[in-house]
Amino acid sequence: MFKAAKVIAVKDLRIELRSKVVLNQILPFVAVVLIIFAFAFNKYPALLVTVAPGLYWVTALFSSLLALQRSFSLESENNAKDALILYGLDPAGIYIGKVIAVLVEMVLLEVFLTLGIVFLYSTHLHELADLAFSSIVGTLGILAVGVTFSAMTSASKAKETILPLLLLPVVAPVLLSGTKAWENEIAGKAGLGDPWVGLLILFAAAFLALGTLTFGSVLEE
Amino acid sequence: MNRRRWVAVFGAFALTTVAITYVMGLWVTPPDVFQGNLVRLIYVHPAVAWVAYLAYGVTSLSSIAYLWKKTRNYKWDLLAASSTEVGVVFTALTLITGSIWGRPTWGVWWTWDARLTTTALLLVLYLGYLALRRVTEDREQRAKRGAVAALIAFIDVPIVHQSVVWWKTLHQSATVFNADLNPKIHGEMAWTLLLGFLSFTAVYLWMVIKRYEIAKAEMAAEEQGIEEAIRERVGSL
Amino acid sequence: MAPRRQVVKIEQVTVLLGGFPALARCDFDVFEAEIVLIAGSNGSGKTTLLKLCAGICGFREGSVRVFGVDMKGSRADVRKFVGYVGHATLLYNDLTVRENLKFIASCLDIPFERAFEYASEFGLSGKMLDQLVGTLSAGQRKRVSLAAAFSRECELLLLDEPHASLDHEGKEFLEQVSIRFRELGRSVVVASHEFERMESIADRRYQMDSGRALKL
Repeated sequence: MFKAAKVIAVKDLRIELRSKVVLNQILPFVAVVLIIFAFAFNKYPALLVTVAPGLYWVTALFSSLLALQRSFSLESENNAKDALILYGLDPAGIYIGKVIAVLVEMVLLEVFLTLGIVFLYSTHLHELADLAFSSIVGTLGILAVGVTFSAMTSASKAKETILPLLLLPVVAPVLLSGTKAWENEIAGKAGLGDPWVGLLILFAAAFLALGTLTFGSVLEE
Repeated sequence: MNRRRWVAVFGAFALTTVAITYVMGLWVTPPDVFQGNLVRLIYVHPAVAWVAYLAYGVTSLSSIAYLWKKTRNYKWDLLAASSTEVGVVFTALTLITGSIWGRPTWGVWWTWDARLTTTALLLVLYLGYLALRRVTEDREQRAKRGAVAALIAFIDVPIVHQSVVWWKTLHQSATVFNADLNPKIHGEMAWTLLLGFLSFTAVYLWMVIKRYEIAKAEMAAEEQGIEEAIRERVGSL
Repeated sequence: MAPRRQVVKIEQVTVLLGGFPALARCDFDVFEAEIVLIAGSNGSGKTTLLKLCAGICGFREGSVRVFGVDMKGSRADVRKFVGYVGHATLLYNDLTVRENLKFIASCLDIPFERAFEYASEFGLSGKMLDQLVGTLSAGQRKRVSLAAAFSRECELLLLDEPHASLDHEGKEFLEQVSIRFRELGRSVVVASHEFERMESIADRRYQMDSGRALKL
């Protein structure tokens, strides 16, 4: 399983290094969203600091939709997904490999996003390590469900519209907990004992387990 | 009596109990000291919400039954889909009746209270499930993917609930389940409340049976079409 | 002479594609060490038949046995012994030929060198290995996917329209490798409109018609 995961993750990241879709298209998207939020709160720029945690997670969620769609569109490009089945790769390994590859891309995007929030919104961050931890765990939770849903929908006619409809309600707890965790950490109130971080961990763990177990059923035609 | 008749009789029974609940709720029971006539919504709203949860419970169980290889059968898939459709209707009813109740008591149609938010998320969660079924054409794929999506929803609901409860809550705490039918609710009120639960559950069962039979008939018709197409192809040689 | 082992045994199989019977009560056999040709017009069911043998397509009724394994059960075990080249190249456009081959080799647990040997056998070497697959011509891409499939050295190789977009040289390579595979006891199934092309080297022929395979 781990061998398959490594093969898939390395392959996906190599494709990203060559095609630079995340770098050239999703990263600018994040920048645009950061600017657009500033327009939306145009009258009260100070509010941006208050709502920054929420904006962070909304932006992360939307860019994860794009990254997930990209990750699976390259599999359907030349029916490569068929190949993965033909080569007899362990479905659980494919699942984990996909999660890892998109997670690496998302971490890059979220570092950029955090910098944007610090510099454009004049937000002061204190507990950087805690912040990074809760962000990564939260993102892992989003992707744990997202990879399953993307695999289900990537071959369907309505793939662009159905993925957000499926994913957004399910990851609502991540949005809530992630925002709260960020708020607490910005306020310097809580460390890793924060129950919100606990909820993020629980979410990620539950859906990683489910995804690993069910990806075979999802992938097989 | 054949099965069809039984279903019809059961339907009539379910609708009658609903009618009795209405009569009891609107005329027989007294108005509340504080809430006045608004309290009458208590005979509908919690019962409708209970049915929504019951429906999704059935969806989850039958999805698991489909995914488990030993019990794999399309019947489970059809049952899951039927129950979800009815569940979505009852979730929407929960939101509507809650909203009607909320406006005069809280002064707003909507508030970001824990239970309301959870219910709203529940609605979109299962709308997504139904949409996924719509876009998946192959029968086996639809069944498998639907079952996995239902399982995801099943695991998600408690987490959603927990996160939203922590987030905020101003909902009235449950009055019926924690009490020994009690000083707050008495006599005919308690009976009407119970009857409400019973009647809406009966309506749910009737609707699911109906929906399930339609789904089965659709599948049978599809089968017939397929058999014909095969015969035609074989015969064309 | 010992009787030849039967590699594929398909009996009265119906496969539905979106409600349409792409195969209708189809029978089909492949034995070891033979080259089987399947001809037939568009929509006659060639592709579905090959996908069925490859274990990437379910079926409604009938029986499918590949290497004696009943495909009603787990198809995953069979896939290890079957190579398949379809209409789609199954390659990643954003990777070079070398990277694609390396990826496939590591998926399949075969040495990289073997994949490159087959690649050079199909006339892919030197600079071309470092070109992105997306920038190759259709014929070159076909050569890459053929090389990848042959490098698995499977007992059964299924080729769906391998001639499409291949040039004369490419077709020659294909014939040579197929003949060599047969000598090693392996079986090659080729679906093609270009009947004349492989005619000379084929052991048996089928004609697909209305979702059934007729022996010729």
